[in-house]
Amino acid sequence: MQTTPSTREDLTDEVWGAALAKIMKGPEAQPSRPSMGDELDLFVPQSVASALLNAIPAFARLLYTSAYGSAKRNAYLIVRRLGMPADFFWKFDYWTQDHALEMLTKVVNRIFTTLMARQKEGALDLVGVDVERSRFQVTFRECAECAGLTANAPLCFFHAGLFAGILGALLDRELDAIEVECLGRQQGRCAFVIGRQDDKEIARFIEERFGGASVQLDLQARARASVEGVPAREWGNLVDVGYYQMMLASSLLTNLGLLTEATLTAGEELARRLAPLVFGFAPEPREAITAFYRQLRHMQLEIAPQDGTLAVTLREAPERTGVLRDAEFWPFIAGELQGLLSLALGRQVRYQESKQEGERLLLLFAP
Amino acid sequence: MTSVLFLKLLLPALMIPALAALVLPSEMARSYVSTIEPAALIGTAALSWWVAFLYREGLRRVFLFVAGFLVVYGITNVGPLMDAMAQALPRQFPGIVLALQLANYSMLLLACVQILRVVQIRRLDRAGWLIMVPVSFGALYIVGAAFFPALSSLEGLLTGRWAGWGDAFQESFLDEIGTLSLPVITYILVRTFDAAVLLMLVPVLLLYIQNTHAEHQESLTFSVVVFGIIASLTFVYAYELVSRSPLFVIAQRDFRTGSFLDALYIFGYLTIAVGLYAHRKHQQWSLSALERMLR
Repeated sequence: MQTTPSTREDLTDEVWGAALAKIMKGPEAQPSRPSMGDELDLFVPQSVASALLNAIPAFARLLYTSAYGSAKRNAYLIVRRLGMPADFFWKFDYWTQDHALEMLTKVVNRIFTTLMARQKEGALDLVGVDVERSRFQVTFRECAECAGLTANAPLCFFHAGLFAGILGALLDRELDAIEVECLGRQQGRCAFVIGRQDDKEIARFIEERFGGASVQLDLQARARASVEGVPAREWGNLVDVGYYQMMLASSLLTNLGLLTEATLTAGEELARRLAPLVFGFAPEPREAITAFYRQLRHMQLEIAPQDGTLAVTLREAPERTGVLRDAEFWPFIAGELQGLLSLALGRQVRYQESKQEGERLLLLFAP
Repeated sequence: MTSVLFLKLLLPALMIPALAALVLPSEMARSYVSTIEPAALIGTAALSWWVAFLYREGLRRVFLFVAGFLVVYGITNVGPLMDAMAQALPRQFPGIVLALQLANYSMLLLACVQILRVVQIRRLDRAGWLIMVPVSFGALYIVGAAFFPALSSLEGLLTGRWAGWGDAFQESFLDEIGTLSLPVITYILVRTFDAAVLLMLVPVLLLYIQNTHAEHQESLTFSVVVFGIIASLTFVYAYELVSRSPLFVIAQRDFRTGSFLDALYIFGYLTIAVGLYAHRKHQQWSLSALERMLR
């Protein structure tokens, strides 16, 4: 299905809705992936975001602003769906410090901390509110975005946008978040300061952050740790598929037109870096590729020649299952496979097209 | 419980204590009204004080001033106290009443000014300001009828001619007005302040209506409080028009007798109380409702 901006927005709403359904009373939802289950290794979302951060300097801002927009829209819809009255935070600027912290903590923790914990993306805590300056402090332990990575600067752009969007939606104001501590910098946890977009201090920090050098990450080491089962955090290495889909839908699918070529290239580049690790999985390269993705609980693959091309069948790929089953094709995985298959065959193959066949996604590659 | 459900249940239920003033036997109605009106006002003042500490700065001042207004208003409604004062200090009594009214309305007007600042009334749309045109005529009537009691009936309002009280009455009234005695000054001031409150608070209700479908609405419970204040102060002028009697006549004839006017006052005061209680409990109830939705 060719998605338009409005259907992309609907998809994003659906992803948020599916996440909300998991914490609402009612029957348990069926797993979106019958055989692989609803969890995958956190390296999968990390690899996508990090490869793009490495490849495109402007991607950090894109990830941040898209996450912000998605969260701002959906956090509001969520609280309304949960029956919260639209005047709950009426005249928040006049609330006493204690009352503001108590109420905001209750709402944020009960809804969004629960939702993120359910998706194993991290433990969100609102720890400080300065009503007068409209500043909020948030900590995020067990952060799935950066756990296990070693970075030279804070890199949780997705969650920064998410938190600013959530608080912005609740309080009906435009906010920005700056990450002041990052688990990726070995600081024990991530911590954010959130304030008004017209707060000069916040604005200056945002400009410096996004205007700075791109983040360089050692994804090989991170991937090796994941496949060897070295825990990246206390919660373990698995995250809910919903988190990955939320990241894809909120930030990447909405910018697909802009990112198509770049994601294909970034995927291919990542594959080259991961190749030594991937081909260590089995003596036969195609088996090794299949085993690598299975090990990460990413998806099931079958690679077979077909009419002069190489057909790769993807089953239960989170990029095209559950609420994203009708989403526009996300070419990052095609780039990854293009890189790995080229190395496996010893000659360059190129991704040609994708075909959805029921629950399976068929990717065709040719020399 | 939610605020909406609470208000849906309680606001109609307020008719019961209000209508009780009408159905009780005469003597019983007098004691009932004399007790419930000051009690409701003072109890409501306590609620407003309780709500004030949820907030800081301007919004805290709103509720503190409303509490001050209600408590002074409540004290002036304690019949035995005012009677005792009138007996003990007969010469000073009109001055005391004027001072109490000034204190009373000062607090209410300060509350109104703070409300206008807090709700940012500039956001009212064009339709809202258009509605303020007839409201302004209402305010004009409230002040104008102090000087021209002929206006105090629908016929008088439409024809400009006296309805039911005779020219002699009007002449004597105009003489009285001309003396500018303390009771007359009090009477004129009360009507003027009521008109000012009407002009300042109706836009707050209009802003609530304007934003009914907005993502972040104005507070329903606060709007009920504002409605209660407007009702408590201005229902009497509707009563004045309908009963074809000037307010100073009504005050002597109907007030505290178990009249329809008493019922309106009781309803108005209790509406403020219900609004304030719901306002204070609003978030707690909302969080409980949220808890019921989540695993």
